[in-house]
Amino acid sequence: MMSMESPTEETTGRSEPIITVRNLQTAFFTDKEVIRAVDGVDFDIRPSETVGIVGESGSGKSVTARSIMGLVESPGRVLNGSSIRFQHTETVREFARRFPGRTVDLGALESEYDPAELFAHNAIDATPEAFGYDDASEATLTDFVGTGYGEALGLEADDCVFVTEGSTDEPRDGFVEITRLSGKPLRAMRGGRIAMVFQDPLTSLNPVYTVGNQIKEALRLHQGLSGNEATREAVDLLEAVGIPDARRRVAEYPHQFSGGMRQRAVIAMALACDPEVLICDEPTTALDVTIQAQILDLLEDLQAERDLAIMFITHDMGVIANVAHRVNVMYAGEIVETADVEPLFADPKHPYTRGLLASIPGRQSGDRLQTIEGNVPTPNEPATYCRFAPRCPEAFADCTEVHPVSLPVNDDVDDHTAACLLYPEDRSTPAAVERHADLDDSISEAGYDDGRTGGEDR
Amino acid sequence: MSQESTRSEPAVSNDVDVDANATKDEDEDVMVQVRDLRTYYEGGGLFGGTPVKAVDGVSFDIKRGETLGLVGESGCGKTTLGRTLVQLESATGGEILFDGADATELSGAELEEWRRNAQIVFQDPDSSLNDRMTVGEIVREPLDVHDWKTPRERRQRVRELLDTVGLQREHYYRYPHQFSGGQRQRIGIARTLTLEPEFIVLDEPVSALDVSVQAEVINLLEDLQDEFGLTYLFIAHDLSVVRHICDRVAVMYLGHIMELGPTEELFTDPANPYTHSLLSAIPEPDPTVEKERITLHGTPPNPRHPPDGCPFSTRCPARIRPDQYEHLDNELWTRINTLREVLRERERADRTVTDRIREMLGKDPRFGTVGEIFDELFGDQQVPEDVETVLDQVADHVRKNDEATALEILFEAFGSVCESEPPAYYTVSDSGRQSFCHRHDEGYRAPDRVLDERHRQQ
Repeated sequence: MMSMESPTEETTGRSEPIITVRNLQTAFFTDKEVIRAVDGVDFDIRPSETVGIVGESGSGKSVTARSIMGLVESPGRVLNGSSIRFQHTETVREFARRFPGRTVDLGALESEYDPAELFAHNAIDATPEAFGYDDASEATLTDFVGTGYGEALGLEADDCVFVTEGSTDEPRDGFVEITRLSGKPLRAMRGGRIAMVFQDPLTSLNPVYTVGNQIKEALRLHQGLSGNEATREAVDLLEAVGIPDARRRVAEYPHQFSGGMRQRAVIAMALACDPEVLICDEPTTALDVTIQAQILDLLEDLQAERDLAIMFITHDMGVIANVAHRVNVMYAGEIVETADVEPLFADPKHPYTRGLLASIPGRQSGDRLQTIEGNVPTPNEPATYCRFAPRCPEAFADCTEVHPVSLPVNDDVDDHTAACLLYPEDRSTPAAVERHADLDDSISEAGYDDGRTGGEDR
Repeated sequence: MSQESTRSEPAVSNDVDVDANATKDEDEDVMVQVRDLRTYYEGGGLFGGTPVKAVDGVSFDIKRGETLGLVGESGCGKTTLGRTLVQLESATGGEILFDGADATELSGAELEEWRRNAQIVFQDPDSSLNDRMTVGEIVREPLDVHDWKTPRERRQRVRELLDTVGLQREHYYRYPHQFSGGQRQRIGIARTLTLEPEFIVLDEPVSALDVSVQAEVINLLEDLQDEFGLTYLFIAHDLSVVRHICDRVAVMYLGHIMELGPTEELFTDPANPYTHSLLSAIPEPDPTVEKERITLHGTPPNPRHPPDGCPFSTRCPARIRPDQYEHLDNELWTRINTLREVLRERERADRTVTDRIREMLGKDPRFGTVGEIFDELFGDQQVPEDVETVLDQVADHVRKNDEATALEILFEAFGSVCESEPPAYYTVSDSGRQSFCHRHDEGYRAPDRVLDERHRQQ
């Protein structure tokens, strides 16, 4: 299914990511303040893999999902420097065919520009570190077009399909940059390639249309099916998500469905266009445990059948332990820890993850439950220090001075990272602090000074 | 398996057991006695119609100073039971004895006086506080209503209470929107404490809160219980919270208590098949645990039309099967159950005139044909001959739109005591734990053995 190469990919035995999120920043501009709901988030989603995102309410989980879906509404917007790449050759081919005017051959651009020199360009305020490189020569053109600096390279505002191999007529490889999508290609991507299941099935279904009608709407818009053909497809979909007597059900209204059935219907709707990626935003939070178990089983089956890449958002650590292969823990707009599910639960590193796990009843000994004092802060300023420090039981003086970046927790692993000054744990704390400080200085200059034209030479 | 069919009289009948419990009053300080409590919601129509039996014959005791947990899926009647206990709903039948006096008989001034003693904390701190009143006014309102001492003393008392629940005295003049979810729930708790009640119903007090905040509120509730000697009825659907805070637990399903006993015992060695299923559905926050999940099929039945026999019989994983079909494949049994559910739903679903005309004209009817349903359910199954004969008969009747007879035939072939007679309460342990299931009768094998055989061997 995937046949692309990426120089940064480690040999982890995993397939290539289908969605690559880099330095995603989504902010809401209100009269009073700028709320940085998502503030520099990196992660990958791979086919047939479930990526979990956990965190308390207000940590930015849902805004991350909405950014990927292109559903962030004014006064919110995804800031320059953010990149969400959808890397799926088939999609690139289809989009290049349907939207030739918005397709760009990166190979041709590469002959015009040298990535390493672009850092000195007037309209570009990024640094190599912001892209995750130590040296400017490692940067590729892909990094620039994907992060909102495309205009500096002479791209038009609505270019969004990028071909890295082959020509624009005959693309062999490439990606779609979701942050640059708008209009038709955005609608083709949303629902067609990436579908979303929301928390409350009752509010995501329209009460005045039959369930069948709503599924048929998706089929009509994305696959051009109508009439009996669409009805038959809708019935098949309802059967696929385990709704018995689907022929009768398809003509019923949402209120005639029970809570679990409604969520199944919503999932059927999301699957209508055979998407590559399914984003589930707390899909079982409103359901009972026995129904939750049914829905989790269903998602697992569907993933196996269809090679779905699933992004699963929840605040329930129990659910995450059951469904996710990889977990990102979010706090105040940042990912504070990333790891495969087993190491994360067996050996949580970030004090916040530890606190979160310890406050689950039944996980600790003793009568009193452990708590994390205080509340999730609203991230309304660029982070200049650790946002968790005021609540952190292990905070020390430097925590209020230095903003930690995500680093591997020790030298032996590279897929378990934590954004905490205590890590990497095989270095002395002062050395670790220094490394965080170094890395952060360069990133913050690039990432947070949104709107300023950084002219300094490097 | 001959012993399966030799049915003996229940060892303990419903009434006997209640009496036995009542006579224990002397050695245990029982505060609330609930006897055969029923709360029905009448159909609003002109002719009454079938009532919704939200609570349908529930008996239990609450001892002074203990926390009794009440768990169950949404719609099982746990909130209605809680509201009936504090007389926010009036009972249809049965009695609630508070220290020997029947609360259901109270009215007027007596009821108002009694209400000082029984209070309730609601689930959603957003909707249970009036946004136009200051925190002080909200907490003081019960004192005003009951004309408690002088206004000056009232204000003093409110400030003390705010202190008690972990808020600041200065918060008196603030408004609810200035507080976080956890703090708002604290305000709600302070309000219930004003009149120094002895008994508090906690209706899902932490369900709307994040896990770390949830831990704080639970700790607070435990502290208050110690300090004021409170008695709690703790309603929740989160079983891990219940396990942490409750002394005894009642498991509810469709208006009935299925199992009632000491918490640890009930969690480690459940007796009732429903408790088994509910416990196995909780996702453990530990990815290494390979849990033998018993996935329940379908959803709880409509409480307007509960099953004739055991309320759980439609979904029970340990249902008693007729001898001759005992060793049918599990999957086939599931399909037969699904067929029965489909037929039941169809029996109640209305056919519109258009549906009938379409059916008569043989035009793509909304109710899928019998053939389709049977194909979907049994197409991939090895169906033994005797089962096949029954299914053919059923199909004949469904074709004639006579679901009632079809259901009768199904029941005759595959039904058992579970569907025909309500079970009795059996005492299943030395601590007096009770379970509502036919399987505890001597004539049948115990539920856990059956569950092991049917669901845990694979």
